[in-house]
Amino acid sequence: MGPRGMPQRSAEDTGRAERVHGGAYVIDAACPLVNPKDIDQQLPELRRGGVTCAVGTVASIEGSRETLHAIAAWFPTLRERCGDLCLATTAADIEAAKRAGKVAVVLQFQGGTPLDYNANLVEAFYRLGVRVIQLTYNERNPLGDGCTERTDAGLSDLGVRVIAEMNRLGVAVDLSHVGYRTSMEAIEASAAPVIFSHSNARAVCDSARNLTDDQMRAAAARGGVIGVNAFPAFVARHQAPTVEHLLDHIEYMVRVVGDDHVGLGFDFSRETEEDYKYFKYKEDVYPKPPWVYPAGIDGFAKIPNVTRGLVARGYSDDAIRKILGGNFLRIFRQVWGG
Amino acid sequence: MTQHRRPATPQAAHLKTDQEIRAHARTVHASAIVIDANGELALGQVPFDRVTPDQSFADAQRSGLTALSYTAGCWGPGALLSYENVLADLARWHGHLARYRQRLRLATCAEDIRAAKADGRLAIVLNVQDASILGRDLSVLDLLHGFGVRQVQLTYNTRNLIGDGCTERTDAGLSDFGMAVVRRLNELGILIDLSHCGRQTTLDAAAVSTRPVACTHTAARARRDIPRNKRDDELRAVAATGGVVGVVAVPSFLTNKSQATLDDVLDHIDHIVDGIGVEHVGIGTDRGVSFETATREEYYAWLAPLGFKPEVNPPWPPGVEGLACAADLPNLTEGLIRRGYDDDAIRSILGGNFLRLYEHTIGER
Repeated sequence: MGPRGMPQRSAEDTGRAERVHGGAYVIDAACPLVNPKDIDQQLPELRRGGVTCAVGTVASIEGSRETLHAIAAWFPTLRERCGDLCLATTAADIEAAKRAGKVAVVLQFQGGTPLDYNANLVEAFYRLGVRVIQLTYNERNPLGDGCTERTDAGLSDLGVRVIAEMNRLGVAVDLSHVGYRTSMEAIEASAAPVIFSHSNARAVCDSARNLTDDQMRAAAARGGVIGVNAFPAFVARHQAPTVEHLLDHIEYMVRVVGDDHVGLGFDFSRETEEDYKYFKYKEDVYPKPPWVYPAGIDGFAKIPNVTRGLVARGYSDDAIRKILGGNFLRIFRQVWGG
Repeated sequence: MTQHRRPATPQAAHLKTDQEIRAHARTVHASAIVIDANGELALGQVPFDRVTPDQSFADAQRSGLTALSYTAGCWGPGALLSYENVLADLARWHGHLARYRQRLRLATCAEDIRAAKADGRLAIVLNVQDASILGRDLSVLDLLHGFGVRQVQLTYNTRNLIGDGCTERTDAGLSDFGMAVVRRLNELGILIDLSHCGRQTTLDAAAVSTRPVACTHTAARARRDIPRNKRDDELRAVAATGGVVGVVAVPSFLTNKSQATLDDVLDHIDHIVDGIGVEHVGIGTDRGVSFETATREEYYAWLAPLGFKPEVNPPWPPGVEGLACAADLPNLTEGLIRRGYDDDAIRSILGGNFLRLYEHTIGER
């Protein structure tokens, strides 16, 4: 391997990477930029990156009313872009998108606030197509504590009821951003495997947003999947992050939980100072924007670099396909049905 | 050092006959500023209400109440957890205050309560019992303040963005947002009520608040071990701020006996007085001024969505014998005399302590 960030590749490796990437289900499990407003700009990027399925964030700290409008905005967009996009509510929808050469969009919450204080809203949003609900964003919500909250409360009674509803209906429980105790109690409470859609390894990069080994092991023990995140401050702390640092997270996770439990959740986003205030980020966890994504993985179009890196690091075709999306496809099939 | 205990020699010892005691009770009660820090006056807001406004005002007269803190939104769709419902009820109450201005007076400062005593009206302190209606927007507190609300409870029974309620499975303390809410309530001059809050949220709020705090309607957990009652350390934490603990007249909070009596209320008062001093004890009946008229079905249908659990679900019919509603409050004064409290202590419990607390929180004028 050459200098960090620029591995030397043989022509044979390059061909193999292209072949594997092109044949794989590529699922990005956390896409704030996949929304009706940004989709026109992002669609060519998604295409270049070979993305099969983008899990698009429709809400994170908003209430039911704003979320309803955010979901509603998707419907005309999906209608107008039906040659490029389709809504996925089953694993079969993702497979069909791959065959048809479309990008499958999954509707996701990055926090349980759209449920207000009402567990019945899980089914209401399920019927609108939502298939992934992260229990909390960074701060406390009615379900539990987020990972940057001053306290580490566990799941609330409502949180327990909401998980039961998600299990009953077939909505994936997402525990990224969730505080330690809430996440561990949720893994325990959930009858179905859970995901950390976009979280890295704390042992590789020490951040409140990253996972301890026991969180990863607890999720994997129940069949869960962890998506590796490209958000710069969660990839590397004391140097400019590159795609190699991101690959280090993948390697570490594969070592701790095995290649059946690792996926992608890049969390590509673009936020302003105003957004920063709105989300009440804490500066020790989230540096002020603009955020510079790691060299080599700074947008959807660069996702093939991850495949190239995995090839260079000696992963088998099968392991690479699982990491690119096979694992998320498996857990979505298991949790959603179909 | 403040006197924490009741006098060893009852001042009422010179009162020999029941007749003398009752006459003395009437005198003390009439001279006192009487505050129910969490009560209810039926003015048609209760869907199953069979009490007319005339009856309500007659009962208010009988109660001797000077001031009552009313919970905005405690009836209606979504009850006190719904922003829209709370705001609609506040608007309705401003209508009542205008329509019944001969009878009622809005209290936004301590002086309003004294003035109500002077002119024989009932002062209404508007309160909100679940600050979840803020969402994550502190400026809603300014709106509530503008609407005349002067008492805000941080949580109801369940978790909100601020802290954990007392029936939650967890016992989280104040969140970051909760700390900001306490600071803002301090700045605005709104009394912080911790009655329904979980233990850690109660302790955190008492520690963080720069003004005295209250549990307007609770009882002593040492006497009745249910989540809605406060442990001794919580009572001490509230008292340490200069705060006041109001004792309820809710039967199931007081005793596990099938019929609670005035003696049970007095036992809780005694316990809390012994623990934190008479200057930190008051009344918050959590009852109507008039006797409840809801049927069992109506009553439980109303309680169901509010996060009560079976062990704290108030039973029906909801009355304490001898203190079934605020109209029975003169009985409490008589009971306090019989328990040996002196006149000053009784007046402080009836309302003097809450009046002082309002001076220190919502302001003198």
